[in-house]
Amino acid sequence: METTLLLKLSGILILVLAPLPLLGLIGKVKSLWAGRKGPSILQPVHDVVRLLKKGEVVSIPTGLIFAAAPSIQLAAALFAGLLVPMTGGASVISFQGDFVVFSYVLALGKLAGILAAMESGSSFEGMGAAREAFFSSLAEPGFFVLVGSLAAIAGTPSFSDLLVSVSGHGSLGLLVAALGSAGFFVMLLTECSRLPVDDPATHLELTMVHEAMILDYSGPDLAYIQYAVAVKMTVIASLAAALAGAVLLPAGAPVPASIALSLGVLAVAGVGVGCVESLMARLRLRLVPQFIFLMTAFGFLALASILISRFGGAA
Amino acid sequence: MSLFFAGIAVLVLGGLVTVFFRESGKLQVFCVAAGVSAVLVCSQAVPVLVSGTIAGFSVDLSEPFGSVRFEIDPLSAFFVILIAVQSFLASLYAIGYLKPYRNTGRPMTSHVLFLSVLVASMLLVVTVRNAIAFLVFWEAMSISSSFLVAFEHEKKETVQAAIYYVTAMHIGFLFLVAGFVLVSLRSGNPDFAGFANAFASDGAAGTLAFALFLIGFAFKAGFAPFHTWLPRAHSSAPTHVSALMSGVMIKTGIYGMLRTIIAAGKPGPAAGAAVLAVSVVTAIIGIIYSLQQKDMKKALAYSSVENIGIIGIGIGIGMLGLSFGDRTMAVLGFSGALFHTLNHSLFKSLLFYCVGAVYGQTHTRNMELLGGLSKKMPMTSHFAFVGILSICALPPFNGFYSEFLLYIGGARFLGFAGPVSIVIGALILASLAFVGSTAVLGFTRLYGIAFLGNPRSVAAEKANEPEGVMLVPAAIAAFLCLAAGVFASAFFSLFSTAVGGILGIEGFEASEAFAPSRELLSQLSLALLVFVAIAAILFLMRTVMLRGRSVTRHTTWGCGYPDYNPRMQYTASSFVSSYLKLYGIGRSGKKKADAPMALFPSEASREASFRDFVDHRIVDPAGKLIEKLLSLLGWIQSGKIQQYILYGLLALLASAIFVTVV
Repeated sequence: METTLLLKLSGILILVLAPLPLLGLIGKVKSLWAGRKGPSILQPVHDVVRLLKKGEVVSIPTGLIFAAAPSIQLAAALFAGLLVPMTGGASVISFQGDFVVFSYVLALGKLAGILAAMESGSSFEGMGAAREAFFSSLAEPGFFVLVGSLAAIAGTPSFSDLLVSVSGHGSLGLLVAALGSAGFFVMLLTECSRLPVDDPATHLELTMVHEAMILDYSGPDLAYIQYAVAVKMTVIASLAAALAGAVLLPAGAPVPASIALSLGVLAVAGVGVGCVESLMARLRLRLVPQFIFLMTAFGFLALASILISRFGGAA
Repeated sequence: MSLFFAGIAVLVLGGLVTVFFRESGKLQVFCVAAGVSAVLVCSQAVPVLVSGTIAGFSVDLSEPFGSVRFEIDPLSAFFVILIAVQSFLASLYAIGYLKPYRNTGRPMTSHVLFLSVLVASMLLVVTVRNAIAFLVFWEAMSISSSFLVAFEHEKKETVQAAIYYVTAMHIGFLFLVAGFVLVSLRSGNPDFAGFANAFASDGAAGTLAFALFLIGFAFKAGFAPFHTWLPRAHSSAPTHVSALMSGVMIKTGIYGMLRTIIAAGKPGPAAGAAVLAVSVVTAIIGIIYSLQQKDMKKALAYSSVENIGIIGIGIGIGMLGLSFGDRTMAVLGFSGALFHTLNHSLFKSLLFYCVGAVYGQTHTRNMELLGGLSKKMPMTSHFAFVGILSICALPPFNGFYSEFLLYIGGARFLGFAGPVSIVIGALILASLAFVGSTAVLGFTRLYGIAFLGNPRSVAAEKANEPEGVMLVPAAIAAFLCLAAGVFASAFFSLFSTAVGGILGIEGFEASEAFAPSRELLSQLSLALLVFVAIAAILFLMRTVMLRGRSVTRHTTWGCGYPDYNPRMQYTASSFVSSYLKLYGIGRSGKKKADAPMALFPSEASREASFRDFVDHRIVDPAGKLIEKLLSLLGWIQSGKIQQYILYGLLALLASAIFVTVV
């Protein structure tokens, strides 16, 4: 009982504290690839704090949706984090079908962002909004195929059971965990607007997706949005962390080990994103859907391997 | 049942009385009648829904009716309440919506009369238990609604839509007649009570009748490929009629399907799988076609097709649950279907009310000409916002809770032993997610283009809030959308008796079967409360932080270009163009381009129109084929008088031979 509580508390701490340093880590990795020393990994924290202290310039046609959207986005990301076992095993809120809530709450955050962008009446932001809605319409079915294949192993559809259930299935569990993590990594790149789907560092409005949507944000609202994206990244990476924890750690592993593993996987994800961003160019818009479909493909591969291992002998 | 019939009588009399009123008073009188009737009818139906006891009444009529039984069981009660409440809201809305049409030569008297006939016939359809009377009421429902569609009869498109609609309804009607004949012959009389045995007694004929019923009801509900009448009728009808048709009338098709499933007993897995497959296709076709509409009412109509598909997915899951003997799955499927029926009825009529208000102000349904309405019509925009959150099934609004039940039902397949059911489960989840995320694309487009940003036309710039009587129905529907979400488990307990009726369980057995789902819904509400609290705290923090700091207003960033024009905003067509291109459906419509070919600039135009696959590939060719076949018989009616006299002589000769020989 005490272990679970400890895991949950540390999960909340990771959810709140890890996201910005994770962004910093990505920046650091990119700098190193580029042969620069780069800012400290705490730089995003300074950025967000600086923005929080500022006033705002608000675009004229906007109203309540524009003002509320950053709060909704951040709340959605944080709440999604509460549904995920951040440190393996135990999520703060857990019930049957919580993965549906996970996806739909994140969708609510996206919808708020999309409408806020459209409220500004800018064609760039409209374009960014359309692309965001387009990409997420491709990613969400993929997420459900991924989770569905995990549920086919677990039989009990709640996040904490799903992700843990890959343990105790031997090599099949290992394979499914690997495929699942790969799928979640694609999801991370898509949902958090990273290369090769979207270039967060671009300065040309026409090529932006997420950045175009937030052109008119400033001050605390912009801080919220940047923090929200980082939280979302941490949460999705934690899905892979939970899978890794289930296969790599023995059941009943000590709390520090679980926490260390989660942080380790987060760091691996951060380094991975940094490497992808340094070594890959952004895909042409026409090719992005094919990249996002990788999620669905990984999901169906996992499902197929489960079916083959379970029913292959009978045929 | 006396209260119920009193309600029907008030409704019909209320409709008749309006004949004696001036055009300015007709709708007010009818609205009062509809309100009184709703109270009377609901005071009969609500106790049935709560307690599960059945109210019934029989009347003996001459042949061919025989004994006609009316009955309100929980399933009927559910639909009766839905119809009564929505009809009252629609008639309230009509007072304001039809005001500009007064004394313009529109058929106002018959419109109100047909409105009362439509509502009364819907109420009777869901309570009558006699095949012939059912068909009579069903027909009254179709005919009256087709006259309601044809209200603006001076428009060619409207009349065509009404004729198309009434034709489609009669094709469906033929299927129902065939089905009823088949089962009535087996059971010996047209009473519903004997149908269960008729279905059970003969395997092949039972299956055929089952299929005939499902197809007949699918026409009314708008399942693909029988959905093509919806976008026509819904966009041409006056808005309160669209709301009534889309919100409740198509649900009588769902009612019919559920009644058929109850009568037919335990369905085979093939039937459930077929319903599931058709529903998935319906949902996908509906939402993708909805994306392509610029006409907001057409977009809503196609989204009704999508939502009927989602309800059908619930019915399919429920049927498969029944055939696998998995009660939990059956409960999840059917309660998801009924809950979504309720929810769709609420948010779709809400959205129609908002779009109708916009149409009343701007005289256009084309979203490309709108924009910035959230400033001009703030209340309407707020209600429409609730509507799109609900229709996109986003928490904490009602649409999410019903789809949640379907997700859980679909996920249950994954726990099954067979590989086929695991694949079915994964596909259910993926298709629900596909439809849901595409709906987000479609409705952010509708709301973002029409209500947000800057006005794209003078009409949009001059729009004002509609009068209160049009806002009240929208407000009530919006409130119910939120309430049915936040208090989902309470709503669930209310209609669980109706689900029990489908599964044939009641009392302790039922409460035991429904407890897990109810528990789940209340857990869900509680969890989402946490989310709402986090969002509220964050918003509060932000507001406090900004207090006392400089918050200035400035023009939107446009790359430094100073001469901003609202037409530079992103358009509804471009919003979805990459999506449609990906699936290769961007070019499904007809296109006409008139490009300048000469050396010097000249007039140029380009025209693209939308085309429904079913119309293009099935309805039109079928119509041509029928025309061709019938033209083969054209020589019979040549127009020559001599030939007609010859027919008479031949007929005389034939009857003379018949009499002498036989």
